[in-house]
Amino acid sequence: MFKGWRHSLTLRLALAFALLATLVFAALGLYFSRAADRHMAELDTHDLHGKLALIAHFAASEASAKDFSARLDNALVGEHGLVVAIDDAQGAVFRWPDTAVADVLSRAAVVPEQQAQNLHLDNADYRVLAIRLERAWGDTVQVVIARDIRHHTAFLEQLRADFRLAVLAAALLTALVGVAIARRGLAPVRAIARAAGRISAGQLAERIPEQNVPPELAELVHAFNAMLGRLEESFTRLADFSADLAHELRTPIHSLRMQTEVSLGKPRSVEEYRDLLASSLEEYERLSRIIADMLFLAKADHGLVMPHQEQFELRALCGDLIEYYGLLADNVSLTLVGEALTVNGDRLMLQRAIGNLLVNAINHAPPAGWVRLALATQGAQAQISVSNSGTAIPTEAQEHIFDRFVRLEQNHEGSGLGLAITRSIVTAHGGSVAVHSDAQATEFVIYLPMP
Amino acid sequence: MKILIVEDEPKTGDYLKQGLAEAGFTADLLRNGLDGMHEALAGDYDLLILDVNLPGLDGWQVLKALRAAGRDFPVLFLTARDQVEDRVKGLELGADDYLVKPFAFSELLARVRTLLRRGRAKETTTLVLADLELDVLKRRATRAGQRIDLTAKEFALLELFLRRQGEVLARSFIASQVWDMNFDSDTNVVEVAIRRLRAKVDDDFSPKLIHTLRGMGYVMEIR
Repeated sequence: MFKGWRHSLTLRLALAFALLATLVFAALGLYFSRAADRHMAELDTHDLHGKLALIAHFAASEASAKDFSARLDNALVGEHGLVVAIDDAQGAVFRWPDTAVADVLSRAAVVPEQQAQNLHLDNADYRVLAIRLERAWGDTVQVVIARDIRHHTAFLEQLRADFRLAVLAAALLTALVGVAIARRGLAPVRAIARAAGRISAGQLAERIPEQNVPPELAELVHAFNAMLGRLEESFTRLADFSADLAHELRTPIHSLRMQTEVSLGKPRSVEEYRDLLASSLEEYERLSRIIADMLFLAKADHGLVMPHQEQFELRALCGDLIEYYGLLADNVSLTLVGEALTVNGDRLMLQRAIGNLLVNAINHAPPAGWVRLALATQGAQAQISVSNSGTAIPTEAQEHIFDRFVRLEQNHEGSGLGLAITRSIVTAHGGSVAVHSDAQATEFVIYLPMP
Repeated sequence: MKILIVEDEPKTGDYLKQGLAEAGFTADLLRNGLDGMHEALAGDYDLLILDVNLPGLDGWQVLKALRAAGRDFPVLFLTARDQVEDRVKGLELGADDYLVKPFAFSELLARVRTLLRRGRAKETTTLVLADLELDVLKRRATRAGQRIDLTAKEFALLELFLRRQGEVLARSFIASQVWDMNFDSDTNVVEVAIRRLRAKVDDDFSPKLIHTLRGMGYVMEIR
């Protein structure tokens, strides 16, 4: 289950979510705790200033130290957590509450200090204000007032603890959400996998619906469907091909069987038997040739045709081909044009590839027509063009003209494998073939890489 | 001329033997590699026809053993697979020629004769059959004393026929020997060439020398 967790999209997404949530909550928490801290400090300071103003008022309005202390005592009744320490040059003048804390604070505070200062004494936190004050009767005292802020810091501590918990919860929650989103987001991928699982040789028509697919996956689905299309096409071609092959082999076997059965039906002369055997031999030859050609094409399909590599001159070879096949061209003018051309490849195979094109051209040139074999170089390519006068090959037929058993005419001349073999040979040489046809002429071109 | 055939496929072996016997050879047939090797080492043969796929010892092992024992008579091997490696291996092990199944019997016969002829008497430069004469050096052909004009290929074709009088020449063999066309194409180019040659050599003369054997090829002889 955890195999490949390193690359799991779900895990990555969950972690990313958790990290993001942690960062955001931590930042927020920090901000709020700072803000609360600042706000509390402001409140405390305001309160301390208020008390300070009261003390200053008493100091100005009361006539004696006694009155002042009594008035202050009264005013401070009920104040919790407030410490007031007033000292003159001789020592303590006023303490509230009357404990050691006030003495300690009075010593610790820096006087005068308009800004509130924080002091930590005896396990408690105090916010402190200290000033010098002149009283109505003329003496000067230092006033230190402090507010115990333990409950504030406790509140902030609590707040921070809550936030930490919230961060943890949020991280967990978002991680879960991340997992859920990843699962949901990857559902189309699982659909693709399921569709792929359903596909078999018999069900290549299966496609993944391209609507309702997230745009991010549309490309994948499209490519997948296109691949299925190509597979289906080649599979159909293979099936057609098998059927064609069966047909091609059945026809000569059928005629062999017929003529043998009929001949054996009654006694015949030696001449007749000889004829039968000769005719059978011709059929056998045809069968052998089809099988050899098929074998060659099958090998070529599997990349097993390894052309022998040698450098040789192509024009001489073409001259020989023209001389040989020229015997077939009774009423057709045959020309060879082009300079000497050195190519790299298998002499026998290329002889066959070009020969097939030449036979085709001669067979399809009309009486008094022409056939032209032209050699040229274009960049790093050798071009061997075989063209003949005659009618155009329909565009839709041109597309499949290099496929096996494709015959343009219904008369069964040739095995229908010649052009397929030519293409296989040229492909095995790293080249390509093309056909152009219009009303005046048809041209087949072999492109070969130059040495 | 004694020929040993080592071939395990019953029908092929039988007909090879019969065909060679009828062509005037003494042919022995063995059906597995081990017997074949012993017989080839013990007997006095001029040629060995060796199938590659054999029970017991395969053709390669037989060939290796023969060459190791210093037997240098020609070996023609038969293979069902048209693999370059097969060809290269056979020729490296010391085979002299090979044929890929299925092959035409006339093709086999032609190769057998070539192998047996190899290394023997120098080829003559004047070839004669009936009143047809061919001077190979002067490139001259005459019939009944009349000069016959031939193209270079027609001359080569006639020379092939005259050198192989009485032998059946398959069309594929002719195409490869005269035009260097080594693939089996189902065209009738050779037929056309023979027709033209006949028009020059045979049509106006008697007896006819070039004969067609339907389904097999052509033969030049006096009938």
